[in-house]
Amino acid sequence: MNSAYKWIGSVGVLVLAIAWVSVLAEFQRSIYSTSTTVGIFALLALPLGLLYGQGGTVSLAQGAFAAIGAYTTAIISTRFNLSPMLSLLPAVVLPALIAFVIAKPILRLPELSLALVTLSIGTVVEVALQRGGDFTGSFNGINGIPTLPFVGNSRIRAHFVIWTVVVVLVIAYVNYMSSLRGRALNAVRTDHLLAEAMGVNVALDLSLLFAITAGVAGLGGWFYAHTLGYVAPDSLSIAVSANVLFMVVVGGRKSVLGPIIGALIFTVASDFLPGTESQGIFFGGILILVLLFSPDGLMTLVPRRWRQRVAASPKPLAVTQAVQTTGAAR
Amino acid sequence: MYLEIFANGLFLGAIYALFAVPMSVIWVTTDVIDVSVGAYAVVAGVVAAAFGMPYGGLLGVAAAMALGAVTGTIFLGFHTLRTMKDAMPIVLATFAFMLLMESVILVTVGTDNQFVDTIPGIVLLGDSVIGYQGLFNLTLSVVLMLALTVALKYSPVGLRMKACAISSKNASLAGIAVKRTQFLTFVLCAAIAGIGGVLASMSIGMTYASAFTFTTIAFSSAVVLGQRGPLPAFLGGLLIGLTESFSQAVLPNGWAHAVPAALIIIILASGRLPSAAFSGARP
Amino acid sequence: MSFDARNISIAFGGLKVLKDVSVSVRSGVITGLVGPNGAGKTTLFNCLTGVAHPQEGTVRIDNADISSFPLHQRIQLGVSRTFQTPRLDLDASVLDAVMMGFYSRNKPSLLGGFVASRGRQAREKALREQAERLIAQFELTSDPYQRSSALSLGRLRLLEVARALASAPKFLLLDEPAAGIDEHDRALLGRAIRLAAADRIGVLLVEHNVGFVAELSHHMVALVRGQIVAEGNPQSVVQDEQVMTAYLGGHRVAA
Repeated sequence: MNSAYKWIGSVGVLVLAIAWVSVLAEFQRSIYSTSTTVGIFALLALPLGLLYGQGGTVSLAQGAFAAIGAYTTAIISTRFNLSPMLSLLPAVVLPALIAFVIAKPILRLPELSLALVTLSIGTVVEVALQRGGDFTGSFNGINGIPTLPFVGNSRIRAHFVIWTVVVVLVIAYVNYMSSLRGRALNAVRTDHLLAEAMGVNVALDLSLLFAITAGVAGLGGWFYAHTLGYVAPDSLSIAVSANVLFMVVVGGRKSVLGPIIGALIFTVASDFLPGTESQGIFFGGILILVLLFSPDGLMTLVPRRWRQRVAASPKPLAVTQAVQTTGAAR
Repeated sequence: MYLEIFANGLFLGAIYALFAVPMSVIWVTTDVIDVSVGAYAVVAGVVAAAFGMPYGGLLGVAAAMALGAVTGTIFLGFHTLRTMKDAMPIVLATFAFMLLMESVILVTVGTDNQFVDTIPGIVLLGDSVIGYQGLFNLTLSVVLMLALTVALKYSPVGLRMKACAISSKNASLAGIAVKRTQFLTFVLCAAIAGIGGVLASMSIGMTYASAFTFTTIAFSSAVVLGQRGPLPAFLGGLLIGLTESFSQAVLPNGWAHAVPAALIIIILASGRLPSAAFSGARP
Repeated sequence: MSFDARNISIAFGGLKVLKDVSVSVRSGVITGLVGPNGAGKTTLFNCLTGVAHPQEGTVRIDNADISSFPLHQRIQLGVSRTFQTPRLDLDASVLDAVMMGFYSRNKPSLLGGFVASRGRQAREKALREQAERLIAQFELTSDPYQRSSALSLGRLRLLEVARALASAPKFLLLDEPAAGIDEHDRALLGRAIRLAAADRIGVLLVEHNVGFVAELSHHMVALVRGQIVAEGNPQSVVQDEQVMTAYLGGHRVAA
């Protein structure tokens, strides 16, 4: 019974939502396309939700790591004509490795430094891709990237594949947060010294999580490249890193589904904006407002009883009610 | 030839210094790293380009100051609405604000490079061509820096800013209107950045994307000498300008743009700056 | 087993905070550390745990030099400490806060964290029950799922101690756990400390309340201005001239 509660609230809701969208999509085929985009963004935003929302460590390099993943697979599958499945591993491992190497010296510093450094990483990556000559296709990027073997051009298949991956990641996230490591991560978010005093190797744990976050971003980049068939230096740039942070913050950084909701909000809202130029006005403005008034995101607007907090020890509903009436809220 | 590269580096650095100094002063006085500093500059430059000199320049600086006032308001808003353990959310908000301004500029003037009339005329030293514009940039920048130093040391506003920089808690205990001083800091610093932006539109031109580039340069200059403060930031700006000028001669085309960002990574990762500089009050 | 600070000297910005201080925490022995404010008690604590790094001297566990070990490593070697100001995530439930104490002995690997095995679930259940027993022992709350923010300061201090004990440490370092708690809770605390000592845990107790410490400790150390001025059984330390002068300007301290 205990486990059921936390699973229903997160994975259950997600699977239901995916099923519902899939049904809707049968009537409006374009939904599959939008949902694939949301899925790719979810791959970038979800791990950031873990790193930042649960671990208090921001990263503005998700776009850069996704770009590394996307370009890795683009180069391997076009220049060397290898199957996308073979370039999957490097697309995930390369950003993870780079992230791990960079994280160690930086994570001694407070999170603001990390934010600035990750932002600067984005710049360096963008310039490197622009100046990569024929290898990276310069400003024009690389096109003619093959589709995935089991997906082809089918948006339907892409939708199901990506969302299956997202569900697997959500399961992993929930597992992690309900373990002792999850509590430790929250302790790190509260106070690094506190966490260390409980035996947490803060530096190593954060470095590993940072690497995992980068690796999953690389996976997102891999999907991006093979779904769009084309990648350029400004496809997955700093703006994307900022957008991903937007998704996490606005959707709700402390809840598992928050970043996914943020991805949905962002993608759908973008479709309604007059043009990509005005994205900054809209999302920048909203981000400021959310940071100011509701820093834990829109998920906090959902009543506590129904909101799934990934608590390690989920309680039966009766106890929840008792807690509410004794006024043990914040 | 080297004299020309050196001179151009100094002239470029003079503009960069005008981005770096406000970044540094805001940082030291409010613990906030204002990512929208570059946006103040670009807006000023764009307005100057739209209206032409000299009135465009004045309007541009005024526009920059208005933006600075917005940031100041956001800053005060954060401090009023919640107890800030550190400046992180505010910094993220300035980042969002920068993106907002970039978008506004993109929508209004598009992607074209923004230029305004350059000061014509050159001087020949040996085989080096030195432009009057460059000399003007350098002179103006140095004069502004001197004025700022004097103001910080002797004027009432400047002294209050200094007190806030040393300790905002003690400053408020001493009866200083900390919040008002901090707000003024944003406006004043935006003005300086705006002047830099106008000079930039006279010299190197800019696009909407330059806002982030200028901010990167500003922060890089502010940290490159390993010490916080307006003077290290000013010198840092000159240094970055020189670096860019020389690297354009040495590095393959375009890589020079990555230098300030790379410097940020290297300097922060090396731990040369004290952690206290970034966290504000950490329990 | 013993956990020692040997000949520790440390200065902060020219000010010598500890001068040639040696303290030994032995299994089953409750050592009380007293001294006026600014004597250096918390700094000594920090040196023992690895938060502060002395310029001279060593920190050892059973003669093994652990001076270069970071805080988290010392915790994993069986040291457990509380903080003067409780550092807790007030948003977390009391149960979660106590369970955090199990981390050092029970943490899953990184990959293990992402995968929930049957074994892990059973372990978690056992740990949860253990935590609930601790909560009951310290009479923290009737509802383990209550937010920590609802607890009084006294209860929060007890929560810190409960968490520290949850890690089944060999050495327990308590930094002023009795400050600001009432008589009933103090009695609970004292009982818990005695039980820990009976369990062969070595306890170092820093406290301002000299009476409380003297009553509990087997051994006492008095620190004044960075130096040890008296050491031995509680009665003799409490009646020592220098200690009395430092604390109360010469009046006798009621033991």
